[in-house]
Amino acid sequence: MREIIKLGLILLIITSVAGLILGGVNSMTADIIEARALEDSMEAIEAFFPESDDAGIIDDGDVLAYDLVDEVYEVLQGDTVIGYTIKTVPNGYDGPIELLTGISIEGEITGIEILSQTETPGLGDRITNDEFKDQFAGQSSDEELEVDALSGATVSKNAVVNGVNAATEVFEEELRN
Amino acid sequence: MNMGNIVKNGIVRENPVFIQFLGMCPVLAVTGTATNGLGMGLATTAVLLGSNTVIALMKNFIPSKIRIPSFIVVIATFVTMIGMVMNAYLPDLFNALGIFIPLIVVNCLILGRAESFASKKPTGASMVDGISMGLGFTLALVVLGAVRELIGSGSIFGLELLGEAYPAMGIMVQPPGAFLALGLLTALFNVVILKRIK
Repeated sequence: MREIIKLGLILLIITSVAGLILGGVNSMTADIIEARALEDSMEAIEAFFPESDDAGIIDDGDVLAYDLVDEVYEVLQGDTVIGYTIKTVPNGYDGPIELLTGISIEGEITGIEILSQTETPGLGDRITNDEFKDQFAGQSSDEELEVDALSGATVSKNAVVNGVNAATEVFEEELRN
Repeated sequence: MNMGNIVKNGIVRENPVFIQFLGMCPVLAVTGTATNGLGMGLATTAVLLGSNTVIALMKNFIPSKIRIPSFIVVIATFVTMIGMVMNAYLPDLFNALGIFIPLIVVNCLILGRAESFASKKPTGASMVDGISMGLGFTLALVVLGAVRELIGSGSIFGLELLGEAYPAMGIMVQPPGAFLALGLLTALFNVVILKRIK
């Protein structure tokens, strides 16, 4: 009995020290990680809407309740909203894909950007190629998407299409005036 | 046991991949490109160095009955720290290695070195062992990654070497290619290097 208590105490000490160290490292890196993620999103928004001045996160429970939708940014030119950028996280072949979809206030997709993905190199990761991403730009948010197939990467392509569809759905149902 | 021998053991004679076949999950899964192999190898080396050092320092404090959970806590702490630091400062590499960073915890190479080396030997030797085994692991991952990337996508470290005309054999950067390349490279390693040493 005495021994069990002693062993338990030693494990307690080890795990407590480990926990303290991890807490310290986390508080040092958490801000940098968050800032970097935001920076990536802002860069993409800049590319979707070259004329934009600013963008802000919309913190609206209704909007964020949609499937796959992770974050919604309102894109501003001066004080006018010129469009939205929606971050969705569909499931790809090999894990979640984080992608941004820019939609102008008139309902035109202005572009998509893949923020992170772990698809198969050489097959599924072609979703990050410009030729693939560029075909979304210019399509209308209230019509069915037309996207060329990627041979050997159907699941990855469908995941991106699902993500963009989720974004256009939120836009049509909640954000479009 | 002198330091030179420890280094030679880690990198060649007891190479974690080609001889001991340890840590096969990351070896097979992340070596689609040389860059990923290098990143995974160095991350593993950092964890090995950290865990070997701390475990060697604590070996008289940890009772043998709870040594395995204690080792795992130490290893998991280093892995989580490295994951967070990498996410903050090397996000591209972090994205590429994704799920495999947390999996370093269960890389049997690290627990294996803790159990068979660091918990019995002096701290200095354990640090050298951690670095040597880590470099042996890194070397194997980079060679494997480079071979697979060259055949599978015609490039090494992302540099296009074979040009557009080269018909990339996509299978080499996919899971079957990992097994093919590992088998062939292990055979080569045995024939070329081990014969010379003996």
